[in-house]
Amino acid sequence: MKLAGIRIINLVKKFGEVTAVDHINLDIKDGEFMTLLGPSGCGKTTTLRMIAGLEVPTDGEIYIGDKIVSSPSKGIFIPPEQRNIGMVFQNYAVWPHMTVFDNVAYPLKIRKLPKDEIEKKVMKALEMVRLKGFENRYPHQLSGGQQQRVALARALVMEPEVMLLDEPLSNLDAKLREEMRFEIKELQKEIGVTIVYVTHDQAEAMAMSDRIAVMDKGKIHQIGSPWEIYKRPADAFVAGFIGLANFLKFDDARIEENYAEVTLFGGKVKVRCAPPLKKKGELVFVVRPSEIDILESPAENTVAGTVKRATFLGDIVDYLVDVEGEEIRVQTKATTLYKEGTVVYLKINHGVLVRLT
Amino acid sequence: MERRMTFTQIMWLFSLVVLLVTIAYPLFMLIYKSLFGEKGFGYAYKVIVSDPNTWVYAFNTVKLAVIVTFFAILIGVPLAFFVVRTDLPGRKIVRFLAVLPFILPPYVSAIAWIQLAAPYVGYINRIWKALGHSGNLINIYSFAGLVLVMTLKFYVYVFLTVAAALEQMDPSLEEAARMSGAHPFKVARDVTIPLVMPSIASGALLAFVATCANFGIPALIGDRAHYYVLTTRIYSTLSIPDLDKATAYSILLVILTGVALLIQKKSFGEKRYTTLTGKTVRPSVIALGKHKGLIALFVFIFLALTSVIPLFSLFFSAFLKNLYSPLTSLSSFTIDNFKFVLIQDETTTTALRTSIFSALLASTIVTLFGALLAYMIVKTNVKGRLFMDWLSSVPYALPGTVVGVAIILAFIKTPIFNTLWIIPFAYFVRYLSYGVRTTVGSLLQIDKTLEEASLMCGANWLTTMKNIVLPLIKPGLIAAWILVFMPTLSELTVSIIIYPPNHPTIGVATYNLMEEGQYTAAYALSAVVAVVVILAQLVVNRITGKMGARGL
Ligand SMILES: Nc1ncnc2c1ncn2[C@@H]1O[C@H](COP(=O)(O)OP(=O)(O)OP(=O)(O)O)[C@@H](O)[C@H]1O
Ligand SMILES: [Mg+2]
Repeated sequence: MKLAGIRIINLVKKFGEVTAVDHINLDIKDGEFMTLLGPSGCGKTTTLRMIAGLEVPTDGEIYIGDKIVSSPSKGIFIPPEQRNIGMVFQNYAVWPHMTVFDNVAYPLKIRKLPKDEIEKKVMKALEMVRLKGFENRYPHQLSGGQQQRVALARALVMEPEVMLLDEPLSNLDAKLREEMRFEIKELQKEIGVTIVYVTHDQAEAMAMSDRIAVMDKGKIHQIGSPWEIYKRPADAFVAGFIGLANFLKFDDARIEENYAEVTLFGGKVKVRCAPPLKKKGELVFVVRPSEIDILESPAENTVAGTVKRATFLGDIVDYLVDVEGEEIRVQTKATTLYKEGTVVYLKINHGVLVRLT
Repeated sequence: MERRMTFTQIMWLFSLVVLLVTIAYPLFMLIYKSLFGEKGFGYAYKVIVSDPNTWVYAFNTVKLAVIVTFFAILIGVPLAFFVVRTDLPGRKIVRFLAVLPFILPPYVSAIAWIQLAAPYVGYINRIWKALGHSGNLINIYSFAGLVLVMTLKFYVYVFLTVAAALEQMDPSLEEAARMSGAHPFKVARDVTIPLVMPSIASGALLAFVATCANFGIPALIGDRAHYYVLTTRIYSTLSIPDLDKATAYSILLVILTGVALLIQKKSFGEKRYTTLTGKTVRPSVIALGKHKGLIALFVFIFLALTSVIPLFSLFFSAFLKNLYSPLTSLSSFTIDNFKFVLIQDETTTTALRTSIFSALLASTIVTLFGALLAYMIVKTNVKGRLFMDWLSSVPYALPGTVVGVAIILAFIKTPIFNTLWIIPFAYFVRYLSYGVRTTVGSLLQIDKTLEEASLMCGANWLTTMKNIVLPLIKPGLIAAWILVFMPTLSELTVSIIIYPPNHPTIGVATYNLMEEGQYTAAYALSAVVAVVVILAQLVVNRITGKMGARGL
């Protein structure tokens, strides 16, 4: 299978007054699993559709491999059917009037492959998505997950350089969704195709991606591995969108090359933390609820607070603690349960400085 | 609660009796009389089977309907595609113009085309002659003329059903085909067309049945072309009168349309693809690119020729002193035709009064009784409510001519026959379905909990009806009233069969004026009807927010 990266340069898409995609830049490597993550309406689908050729960009350039496929300023636009991209749509888009076999065979029939070769490749693709034996069924005789896999097989069968998946798991139930996450990831490892994956489910993005591009309001806020995005968010939006986060004002911060130290709550607490990725602009201190310990008695480098709410969630307890007028979310292992109104002492273990905007 | 039960029971009994007397009984009589006519058992069938003419008329009907349906598909499908799925400019106007001829009564369309394309006197042929040619460019009194007028009337069925299907189709089904490497033409061939096929078939069926059942156009155009179909033959057989033969023809006509329905059900019944997704679909719009101007020009010329010009020239003709007046002189024009039909002529003024009275009465009763039926169908679980629902819809599904014959057979010996009252009565039977369907539609949108909430608040059933249900369905009731008023005001097909001699309707009077050769008067009356109908349709659009909801 041929591989190709994707390069997106200053891509813009306007729908009348609305700017759906606003000057984004993205460099996706051969065989990489790149996820576009962001809240609803942030422009993920629009970006994906521009890569596919289903939407004409307003400005900017898109390269697939070393071939330019879209550039309004140069008057270049390769139509979708010539881009050799496999795409899986959010609602599967499996053709209801064709059998599973015919659905999957369609891209090959269009390419006028000989019959026996089509048969061989279709069966191989169906085997990959574990749908052997379903060839002669019609889509309405399949479950949602099975239809989804038909859509996947149809995208795979043409051995594309690039595959685009738009929230392919959003219509499935939780259990099937987890299974399919794993299956898609396995498949990708097996055939090594470049994947651009769209989702607004951060757990899905974390579990599958090599890198994630976090988007909001048409702009990319950060590109990085799941680890980087979670541990070193570039700004408050990313920190808040990926996982839970407390945003704390700090009194003072010392920023070094490899670390930083912030002083909080009038000097009572000092925390060594990650330095900001970008130092310009106003900063805020971000702490994940799981990076805070709750102590029964005062100790060095702790601050007192009152439990305002305690929610028992099984293996963890979720607290809201009032510390000097600020509400701090804390999650601890369920070893002890502090009742509402209890005075506790918080120890902040780690955090990260990020830009406010 | 106790009181509501008994009230419902009384209403149930009342509705059932009304439906049995007004609908079931005439239908029963139609079948019964075809078997046991005045000349003995099965006579009617013997006559039609042995008479070779029968088969000519049946064949003519089918041939006409097949050809009209073919052209209806040929026009309706591409037009729907351009309107829904391309960036054709002025798509709203295209939609309006396409539906415009459809809302006119068929005989008005026929008359519009007659004054435009009649031999020698039609404008097209006069212009043709003025250009130095001899003979006629087009003769509307021909089989081709019949096909032309009926196609332009009934392609709207195909257009509307296909447009709806295209609008609701999930665009990603087509996009998936393009991603698979298919050129847009192949996408259309492999995905779009197969998926809208069931809708094309049901639109085509509607066009087919409408052509078979239509009376006005074959009566005004077909007869002069000596092309006879079953509906026009039923009418002339009745004037002999040979009731047995008319009955037998009616049964034949019902069988014909029934067979068409069966064929459609058999071949497409199971293939209704549900391609709807929960999300609101945004049909992907294809850019026509450099052909845009050319295609737009073609579409607008087509619509101008088929929709605008016939109507405008009808208004124009309504002001002509006589058919041969030179068009270049201002003295050729007059408002006398309108004076004649609206004030002076006794027949047409009687007709105006009769039609307005009948339409007012019929639409009011249909709305009230339809609402009652609809309420029972949707909001109660009384016995036989589905049967009542079905029964109320039968007369509209049958050809109007057949309904007329059934009413004659059932009520010829009753005192209301040969009085004015038979007209609103017949309209009630024929159009009850409109009242039921429209109100069922609005009742379905009312959640049961809204009523229950009111009952919980201590309101009794009547207060609940008055305060909650009625205000919510009021737009539906108004729409139902207008939907019945409009076609009944200008009704021809049923009227011409049952009207008492001294009470012609507008439709009958117009038809008779054409038969008597009083063309300019007929044009004036048609023009008046056209204006009223178009205005009423605009009101309905306001209320229902949708064009061409009628009959679909
Ligand atoms: N065809 C269109 N016409 C007008 N506006 C559009 C169109 N397509 C998208 N938009 C707008 O562009 C913005 C981005 O839309 P997009 O579909 O890319 O969002 P998304 O990130 O995929 O959201 P979701 O997670 O809800 O699918 C939205 O504000 C949307 O309303
Ligand atoms: Mg989306």
